[in-house]
Amino acid sequence: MEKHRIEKRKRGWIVTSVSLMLLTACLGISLVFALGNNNAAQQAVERTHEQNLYDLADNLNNLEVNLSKLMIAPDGKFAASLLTDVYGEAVSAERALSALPIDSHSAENASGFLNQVADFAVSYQRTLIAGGSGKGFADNVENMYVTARRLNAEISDSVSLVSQNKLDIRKITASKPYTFRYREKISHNSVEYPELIYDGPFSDGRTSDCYKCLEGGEEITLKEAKDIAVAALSDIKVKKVVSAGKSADEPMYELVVEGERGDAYVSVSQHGGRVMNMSVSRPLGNVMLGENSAKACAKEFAARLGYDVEPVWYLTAGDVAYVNLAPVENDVVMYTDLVKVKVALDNGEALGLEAKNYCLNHTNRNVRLTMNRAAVPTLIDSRLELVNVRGALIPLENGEQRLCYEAACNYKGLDYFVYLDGVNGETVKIMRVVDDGQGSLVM
Amino acid sequence: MNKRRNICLVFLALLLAVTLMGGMTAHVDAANIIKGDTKENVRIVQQRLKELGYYKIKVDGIWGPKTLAGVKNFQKAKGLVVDGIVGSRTEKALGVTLKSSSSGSTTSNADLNLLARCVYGEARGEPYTGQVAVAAVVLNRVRSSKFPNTVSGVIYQAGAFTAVADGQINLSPNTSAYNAARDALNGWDPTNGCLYYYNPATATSKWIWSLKVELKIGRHNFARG
Repeated sequence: MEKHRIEKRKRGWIVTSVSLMLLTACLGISLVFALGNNNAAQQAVERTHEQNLYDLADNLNNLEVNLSKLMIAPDGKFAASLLTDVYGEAVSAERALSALPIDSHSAENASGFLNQVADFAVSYQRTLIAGGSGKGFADNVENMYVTARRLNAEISDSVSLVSQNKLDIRKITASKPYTFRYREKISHNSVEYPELIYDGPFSDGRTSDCYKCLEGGEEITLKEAKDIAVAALSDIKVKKVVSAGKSADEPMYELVVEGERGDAYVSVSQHGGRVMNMSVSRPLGNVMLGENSAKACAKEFAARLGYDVEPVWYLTAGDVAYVNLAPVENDVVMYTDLVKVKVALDNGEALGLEAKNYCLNHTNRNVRLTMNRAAVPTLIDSRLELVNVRGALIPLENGEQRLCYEAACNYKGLDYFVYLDGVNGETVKIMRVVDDGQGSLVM
Repeated sequence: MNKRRNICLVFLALLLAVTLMGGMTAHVDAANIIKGDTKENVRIVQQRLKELGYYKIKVDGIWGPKTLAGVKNFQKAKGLVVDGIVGSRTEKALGVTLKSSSSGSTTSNADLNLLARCVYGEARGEPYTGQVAVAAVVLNRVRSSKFPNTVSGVIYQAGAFTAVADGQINLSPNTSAYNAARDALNGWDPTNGCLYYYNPATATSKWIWSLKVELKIGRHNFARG
């Protein structure tokens, strides 16, 4: 009996020991696999960083060379071809730079410069295509060349260290926060970046916004702004309004609102006391409203806040509808002055309003189309089926506003909007209508 | 008794080892039709319910009370959990394949999903406006010359967002994050053009404290830069 007990205990120890050994072995194997995978992943990351560094250097080098060529060939087909290269190289360099493990703040001026070079190239090329001269761009090209040369020299220094194995990316990427040796080289301390004034969205000349609609408006106090917010948000039965600060640029009172039926955020302009931005968060019920009712609710809400606008676009997303509205004068839709209203489809209450474009651009224009409307069918491609024509004031990428005819067309089941210049009939823009399953988007 | 204990011990050891070797794997649940899901998915479900006699009115892609009742009646008839939600089991029982909301085919859908993931990783727990504001900062950066020109470029820029660095960007966003991202993509910007935000309780970067704070929404300070 005693012998049997000893044997049983011995067997128990053996099983326990084997299971512990098994566990240790499994843990060991998993550790080896984990370390192996981690090492492989780390190496892949390092290779990508090295590749991006080399790509950045290559593109900067080509950019410098092509900008120097552009200095002596500012016009004609050769310049247009160079600008295509400059655009591609600037975009690729910026992409490589943003993929490097440098904090975004250190690289933002270099990124800004590269983006501006790409934008500038597009603007310059458009001028050449339109038959203009490139001479007016000469100063900017020279400034950009000087900056590209300096940036290129700084980066080349880091690249040569990496290629000679004197700069170990492995050690650098292992430390946190990453401290690349060339971080300082890229930052604004070592390279002086020029101001670039040209005709494009990233131009330094376009940085300041002027809110035309708010010009001359009477200044209001914070208390008055709060009262305006309470009146605009009567639907949620406001309990408390707190200031979140005041945004600069055009001063706006930013207000956080607590209500019985939900919470909200409202921006009220200091000049004129206009609600420019509003967003309500509350639980939503079942969808009860269709397109027409939602559009009517949006129009009514916008009018209540002083925006005399008509619905021009509609998009649903689950329980809510986004309605774009614009002023319409003499059968011309002012797309430059868009107001967007978000409507709850359970009861039609407004859940949001966005009127920055209206406040920036709206003014009394008294627009009139000079070209005869009857000419529109003759100016669009004969293969297109013309559905509707109306006037439209549209914003262009360079900040310009253009009075056009908007021709809604169909071609092989695809819907388009073709915008023709209201004076000379030239095609200014073509938009494709894309159904994304929730509504129609224009692209 | 001892034998059973030993077997249990071996089983536990194996289970632990297999779990450790398996590493962390995440399962993504099938698409659920709930209020707010895509019109296309709602249309697919309505069409199938109509074929099966559980939905009598027009197939319009709008999730209304009739659709909900149809789904519940179908679930009841098939012995499923009657919750009105088309999860993977109801989807299978209906014999339809729904499109996952995270695999949109258009660029805008891809941007929406990525932006929603960024919002969820960076600002879940913040008030709704704070979530819209985070999404708006991403889009303001896309529009700024100083940052990459795409949503993915801005979000994945090295060191730009904590959620990318610590992997929280890969969490599945909730409805609030999607709505916030959609609002921002439709033009809402509570920050009025800000390019930076930080949580003053956790921010370690020196330069970010040098920026002039314009707004404070939830736990985040927002600055134009």
